[in-house]
Amino acid sequence: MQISDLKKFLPAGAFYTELKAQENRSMSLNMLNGSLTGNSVSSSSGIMCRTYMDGFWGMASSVTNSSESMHKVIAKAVQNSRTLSAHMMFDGAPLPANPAQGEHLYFTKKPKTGTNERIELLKALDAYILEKYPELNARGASFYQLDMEKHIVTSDGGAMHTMTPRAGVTIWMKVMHEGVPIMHWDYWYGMGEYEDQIKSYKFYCEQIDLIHEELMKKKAAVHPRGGSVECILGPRLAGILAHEAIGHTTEADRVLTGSIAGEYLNQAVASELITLIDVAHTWQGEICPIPVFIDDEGTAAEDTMIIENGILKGYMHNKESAMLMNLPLTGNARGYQYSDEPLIRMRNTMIKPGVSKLEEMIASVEDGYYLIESGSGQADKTSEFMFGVAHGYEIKNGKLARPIKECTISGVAFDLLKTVQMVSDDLVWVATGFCGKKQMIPVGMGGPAIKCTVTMGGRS
Amino acid sequence: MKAQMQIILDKLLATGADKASVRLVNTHSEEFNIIYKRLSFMRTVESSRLTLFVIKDQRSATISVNQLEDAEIDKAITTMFTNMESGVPDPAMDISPAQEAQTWESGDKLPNSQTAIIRMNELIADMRQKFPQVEYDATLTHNSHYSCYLNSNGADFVDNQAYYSFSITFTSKQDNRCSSMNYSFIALRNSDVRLLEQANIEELIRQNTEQVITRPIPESFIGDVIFYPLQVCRTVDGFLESQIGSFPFLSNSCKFPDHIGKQVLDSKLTLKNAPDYKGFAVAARITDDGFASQNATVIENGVLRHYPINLYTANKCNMKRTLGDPSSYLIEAGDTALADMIKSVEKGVLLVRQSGDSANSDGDISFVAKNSYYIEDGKIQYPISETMIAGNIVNWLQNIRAISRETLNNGYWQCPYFLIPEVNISRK
Repeated sequence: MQISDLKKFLPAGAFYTELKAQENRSMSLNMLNGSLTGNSVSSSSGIMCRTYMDGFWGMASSVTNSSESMHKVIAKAVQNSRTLSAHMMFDGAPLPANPAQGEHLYFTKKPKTGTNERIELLKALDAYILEKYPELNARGASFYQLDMEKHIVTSDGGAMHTMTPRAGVTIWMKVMHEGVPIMHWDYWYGMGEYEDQIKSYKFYCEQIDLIHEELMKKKAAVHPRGGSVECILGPRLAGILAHEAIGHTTEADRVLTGSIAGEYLNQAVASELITLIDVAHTWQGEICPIPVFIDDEGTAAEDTMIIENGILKGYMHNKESAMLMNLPLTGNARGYQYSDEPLIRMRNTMIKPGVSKLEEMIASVEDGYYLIESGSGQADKTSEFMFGVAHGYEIKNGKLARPIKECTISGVAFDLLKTVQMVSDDLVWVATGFCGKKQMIPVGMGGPAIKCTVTMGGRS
Repeated sequence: MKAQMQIILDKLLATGADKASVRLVNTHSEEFNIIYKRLSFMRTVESSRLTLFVIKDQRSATISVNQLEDAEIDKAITTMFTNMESGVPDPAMDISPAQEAQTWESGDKLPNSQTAIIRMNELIADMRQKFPQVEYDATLTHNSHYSCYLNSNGADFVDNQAYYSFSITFTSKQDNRCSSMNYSFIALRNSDVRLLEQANIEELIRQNTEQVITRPIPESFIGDVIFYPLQVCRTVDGFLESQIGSFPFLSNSCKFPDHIGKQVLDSKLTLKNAPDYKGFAVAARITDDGFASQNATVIENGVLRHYPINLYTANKCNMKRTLGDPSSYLIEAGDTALADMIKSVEKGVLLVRQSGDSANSDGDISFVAKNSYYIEDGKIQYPISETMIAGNIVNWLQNIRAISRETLNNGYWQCPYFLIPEVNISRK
């Protein structure tokens, strides 16, 4: 169902309504030790209506994309709002609006490849690993692509058609060393379909060699010492720090339900070196990993300045939080499936690059760690966070020393950011992540390297 | 529905599949949401998921769609066969064998919306009266699932389940401070129960109110950790997945490769898969690899009875699939009262929630202790912050000092508390 079709269904009346038709399409290919253990495609499509009447939200959805079904879905959504409002009263302000209209489609313009070509690439990479590194206990190569296509109209004038794809490859290796399994991996994902994101066979082979080199180094890995330690967080970790530790605490729904960030607006929460932004779609002329020009409430999406030169400046909003806090809309409302309500979600959360060089940052650490690759991360409303560290090195007297075993780092983000002494001048986006908050959603996160003090979960 | 599934299965075979399976899951849910302390959002979801799997000449492919018109299904079949032909032959790919046809029925298929609204408003009133300083969101959902699995070997299962699920997240505020966020989730056979009184939720919220003010532990040390039942479940699940599940076997790194009938964990630990247990409100009846989920003891007094591996892994590694992935965990209670367990701790932590990665392939793990307490001289002292716990889940589960008499049943699983000694506990 296209925008023009959806508009015909917008019900008359004083209440707010969203209508959406959405399809998510994905492909997943997995090779494990030369076997194609996963060869699957999936699609999920449907329509939904969400209404806001007298302070109550009602929503309904259906897999059936037809006029009759849309009428039923709208009637059910209205009924759901009324079911709640029949029991309660709410004396709220009207929802704010900053509607936008547009089409933002990132279909590839190149000739489409078939499944065969994609599997052949994985087979070739697998064969390269097997031939060059036969001593491995296990090896894997996988491809994943998710396309999210949405048509949305809102009763306050929003209208959009978007298609946002994300694709990439992950490669991993495992070896047993003294009876202990050791793994190392890397991934290359970005906004775009296979044809736009897949790199050359040669590129992946070079990366395989690097993965193997790091895997061999990991045989000598040591447990990091636990406690408070001076670290250089590499760009991938700085990105997850921006997302997990600060981003989540500054989502306005979390602020409204107790986040400590609600106490800090316009206060110093970080070193003056730190500027942290949730970028809507474009950074310095380049499209970000998850470009959002219009959000799922039809709102024009704008960059949200969260921390500017160390001062907490703002929160991310949907219509309801902006209404309750009497603050401007930011365009952060997104839903994952056709049947999901838009929640406040980050888009491309990043720490702005500084002026230092990574080499001089490492050289400035006498006894600490350089943390390169993250595992999963979580954060709390107190801004206390954790995330796994999958790859890193000791720094001794300004030089990289032994690799470290996997561990967890943690801290109170608003304390940690005050310890930042240096910020590197580069920016790396990570486009693999899904953020979980009732629903999953693809997010982008980015960062330079930062020098700071964190708590490490170590054993030595 | 089942007749339509059989037609699709026949079509897959007629198109050329050597073997095929069809799985349909239809879901209807009614969701009642408290947001910003108001029952302000009601959502109705109707969804379908049809998953087709084929094998031909040892090549396989899967497709999953939610549009069930004939033309859409025909298109999906064509796509799947094209993808399959691009695949790599693998004799380990298979479908489950013929099994006795079974149908499961449970729960009320229709939601009782009025009762759900009454219970959610009752929750709001209870929270206002007992915990006015607590910010929270909560969701009560009536879920009705119809699942059908058929395959060309003759497997034939239908599962009609309905139940309520309830989840709540909460944070306490006092002046300009807030506690760590905690949560709970449960499954219920019906909604006509006082939600705050279920599965220790009220106690977790009460604890949360005193976690507004926390302190780091006095020093880093090696001590005892009492795992809250949810953390026991998570740790045991982590052991199964990272140490003896499908991935360690497929990646040639299982450290217990030939251990059926052998002691692998502490003799106090007995873990069952119990989909028929009356105390559970919901259970997975059909496994992902097409078997009826079985009641079985996975680990009996520390002795391994079944590997939790799927059919593909068993075929690939020349093993026998005897159980598959368990999902309805029932860990047997021990003989130590929780109060005595706490009294026995000279210096340690009551671990209520953990925030961190899962264990790596060697079993190493580290995480932050959340909503947790410092214990000294047999007494709970104070709620803690910025405390990390590190160790190895295999070592932990091979060295359990005590298991509690008390268990927590959240409708999905049932677990006691574990006391694990000699754990690394560090502060910033």
